[in-house]
Amino acid sequence: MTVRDPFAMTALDAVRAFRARERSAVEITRSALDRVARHDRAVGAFLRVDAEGALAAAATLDARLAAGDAMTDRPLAGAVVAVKDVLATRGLRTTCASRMLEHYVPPYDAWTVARLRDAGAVIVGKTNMDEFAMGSSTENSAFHPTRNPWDLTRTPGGSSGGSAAAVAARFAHAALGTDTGGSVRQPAALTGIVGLKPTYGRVSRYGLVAFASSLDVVSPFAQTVADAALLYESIAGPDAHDATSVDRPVERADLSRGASVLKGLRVGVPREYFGDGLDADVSAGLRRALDQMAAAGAELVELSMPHTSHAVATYYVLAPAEASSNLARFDGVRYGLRADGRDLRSLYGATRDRGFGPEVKRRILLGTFALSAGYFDAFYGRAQKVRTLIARDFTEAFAKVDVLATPTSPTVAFKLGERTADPLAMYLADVCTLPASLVGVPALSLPVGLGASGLPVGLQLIAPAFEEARLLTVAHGVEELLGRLSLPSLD
Amino acid sequence: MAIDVTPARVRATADLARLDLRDDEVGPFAGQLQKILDHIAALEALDVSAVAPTSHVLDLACPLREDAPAPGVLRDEAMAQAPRSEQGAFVVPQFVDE
Repeated sequence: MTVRDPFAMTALDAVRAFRARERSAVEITRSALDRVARHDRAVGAFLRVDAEGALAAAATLDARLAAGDAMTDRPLAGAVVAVKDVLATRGLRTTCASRMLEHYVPPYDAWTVARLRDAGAVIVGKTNMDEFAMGSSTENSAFHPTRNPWDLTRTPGGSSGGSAAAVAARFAHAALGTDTGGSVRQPAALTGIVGLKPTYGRVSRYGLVAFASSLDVVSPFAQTVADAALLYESIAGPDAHDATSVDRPVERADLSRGASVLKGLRVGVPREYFGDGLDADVSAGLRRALDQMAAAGAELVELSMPHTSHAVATYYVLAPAEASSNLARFDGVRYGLRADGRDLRSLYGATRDRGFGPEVKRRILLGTFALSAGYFDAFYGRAQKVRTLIARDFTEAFAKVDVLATPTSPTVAFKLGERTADPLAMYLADVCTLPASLVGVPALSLPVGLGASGLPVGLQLIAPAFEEARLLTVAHGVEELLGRLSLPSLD
Repeated sequence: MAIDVTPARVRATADLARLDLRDDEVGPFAGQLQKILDHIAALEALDVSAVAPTSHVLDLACPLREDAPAPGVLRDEAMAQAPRSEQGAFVVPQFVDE
């Protein structure tokens, strides 16, 4: 197979082309850098492109291949990957899209970044995001918004919107994001690509700048399910640096079965996810996908998950509470921005005023309030109990079905500025992704086609904890059944 | 629990978070937080008297490892990110009266 444009390739194609010596890693990397140079002014996916580091890593791979290394332990050699700017990269600025960390250069790599490098991935740069991963549109970046490659007047979703846009624009074969309440699945849906949130604890959080520690999961984006599986298998597994990282075998997805995996599969369709707020495009796209799955032999089981509507309120107590505690470390003393003050108190207050943008301040206020004396039980304590009820909904559902199928986002990509004036409206749109986050189970968003608007629609598949292999195998079957989207050319 | 989010409450909460706010931020934050807390108040409709809280989704024991020395981040490397440091120490304004 000869492919002219390495960015018509998937990550697996690029790995094969590199190993077969059809393309050198330097050639592939240069074509990524050229594409970024041509189009990222319009898209704004990157905060920082590391041309020098990427080309040096590629040259090392080429030299190894030339020296006879078969690259069998480097499953990503040949692939170009982008990394959300919330993951520490040694020697490369890591800002979280915040003024607070504008000049921060980490002295170490995040665990997941080190795993990508070990697997032979070339890291092309750091991608834009909502500041400290707080947001659903990437408009809360302190530096610039990111635009959706399908329609530059729309957002790519968020908070990992830069990574999603980088893959949808084919600036990189794949990318890492982080998903706390849907920050990988929702942008994957809005940009027509695949986003997998693994089970909480599957992937080390070492070197991930913490937002909500009981929810944060490093998560891959890719053009295809097979590529998402490849990235997931490269970053999953135990790490002694993270006490919540789980030591369990990482089973591989079975990508040989195709759509035949759907035969006899019990697919739960929870009615609470298909309520009034769904766009016509989303509801039609989901209906079509579910009908085709049924025609391929899946058994659709309508069921109820009665606490779904409480997930937004629960999440927006728990996540800000954890964030207000985690972000206390930004005090102007040890690293990051410092605004001078007469005394320590005024130094803290001024540093945090200047360093944090409005959404981060809003969540710190919300979280601090929910944890404050007199309100702790009514807000934080109650939300922790509702989290238990939401988890029970999942336990009961998975007693009846193998996977759940829902929309990823109630709408297709929305216009820049459309929701910024009303934070609650932005939060309410997270309703489909928050429950799986609160419960910790793995969930994946897969494009199922374009709506009448010409914009992509995402299907969310959810599996029980630690069943990523099942989730990816099923998603691969659905992808084979429905066909893949052609991503926009940008030319 | 009905909460009245007044500008004074916003300022008091910001003070707990060691966060200075500009005067023109306080009013808008009060209105937005009021809407968000009113939405959260819907959780009160649920009877959770017999429900145990979930603080963490994994059933984890506290993991232990060997107490063996291993390389970490060097002091100079860590201190290199400090806004102000002297002689291997972080410099802050005086906070103890002489």
